Amino acid sequence: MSHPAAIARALDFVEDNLKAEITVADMANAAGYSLYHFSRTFNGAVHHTPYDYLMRRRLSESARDLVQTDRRIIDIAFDYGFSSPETFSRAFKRMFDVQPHQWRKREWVDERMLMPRLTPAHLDHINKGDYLMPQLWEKDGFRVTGVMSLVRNGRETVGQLWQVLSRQLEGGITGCELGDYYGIAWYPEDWGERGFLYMAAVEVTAGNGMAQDGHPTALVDKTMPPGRYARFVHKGSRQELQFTLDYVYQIWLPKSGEVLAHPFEIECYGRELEAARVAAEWEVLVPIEKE
Amino acid sequence: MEPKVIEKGQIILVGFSFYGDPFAEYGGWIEENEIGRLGKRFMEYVLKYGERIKHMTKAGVAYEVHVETDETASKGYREVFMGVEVERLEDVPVEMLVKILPPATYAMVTVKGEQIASDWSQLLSEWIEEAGYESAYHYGMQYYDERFKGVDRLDESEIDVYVPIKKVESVSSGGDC
Repeated sequence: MSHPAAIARALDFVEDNLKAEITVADMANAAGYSLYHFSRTFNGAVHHTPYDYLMRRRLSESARDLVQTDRRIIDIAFDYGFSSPETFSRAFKRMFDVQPHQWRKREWVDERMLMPRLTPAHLDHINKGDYLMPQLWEKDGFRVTGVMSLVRNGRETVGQLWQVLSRQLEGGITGCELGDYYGIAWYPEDWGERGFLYMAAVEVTAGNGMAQDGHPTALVDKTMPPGRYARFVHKGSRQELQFTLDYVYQIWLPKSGEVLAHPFEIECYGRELEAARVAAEWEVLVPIEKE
Repeated sequence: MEPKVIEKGQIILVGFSFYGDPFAEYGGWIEENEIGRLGKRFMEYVLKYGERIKHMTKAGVAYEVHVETDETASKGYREVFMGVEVERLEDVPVEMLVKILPPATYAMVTVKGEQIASDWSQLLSEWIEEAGYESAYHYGMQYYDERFKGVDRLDESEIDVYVPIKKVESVSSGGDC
């Protein structure tokens, strides 16, 4: 059973009270449910307990404040309702694996590490797919060739990259066999400010190296490392991809016993380049390793 | 919803318990949450070692007791206890826990089919308040017997829900001090 409006009221209530003393019982009141029914429904819709979500939202905003303001750590702890700096540090380390004072030394906030404010659109999206149980997959290293650019302000550039790749490949590549199409997103430390790197790419399964006649000069080559991946199926548009990624990084990953092995994720489109431009469903691979 | 007011004596239960947010992994009425797991652990025990439970008042029935603590309101944590009633505390298998519920007045309502997965807890609270009662203890219980067909057959199932209540004490209007 899904009750989007009631859960949305509870989510709004959390945002309005990140710095106030609120309880899970208050969240249930905001939803208009008994505490028991609220717990059951919230977990079913959000895949975090109400208390976990509240704490993760508070810790995420405090993590932002640590980097973006000069407020003392003790003041930030009290701002978000922690009873002491020690309680704050313990909770902070549980979520981010570093102490607040270590986090503060960072120049940039990696948004992927923060629990975003969940919206009704997130909940719809979570409902749509079976994200709960991704397949875990060992994948061999592979070689790709393609075009790469910084992506800022939304994902428009991504579509353009696929068009560029499409034109570059029109004549084929002499001496190479082409495999699956991949979109690869890399996140440099400062990606929140500067943008992330995206490569529209195709796997090269045979051939004697790239630098030969017939290789379009605009293409760059990359070798992707072998490793373990969690494989999710994204259902929706490219604009909605953020909902899937929010789920992967902030709902699935913290409970999986895994950590990110590399700062990239891979979109898989199969053998048709056209799929990368128009598909409404594709695989997202996230490189993981045991905690 | 038409709850009844029922008196019950002390209830002695032996069974198993969970403490925390039972829906941490999965919500809804499915077996894969902690209440489902607890129920499964309890049922498997009863099927395999039922003869170890002595002085059972009635076979084939079970109580699910939810005990609230300070952490229930703040964090959503609760104790869930699943057990059977026994006449007296003798020969309790060491692997089982004991829960003793005090004699109490209960608001009792039978929930059926789709109602089971709805917010009967809220409706019952509203009824209790309107009828001039309040909660008497920090627990509530659900009673399962042959009318409960399993979480995959909620449509055909019935359970009885009990909340211990007491009359709201009339507040004196003061004036004599």
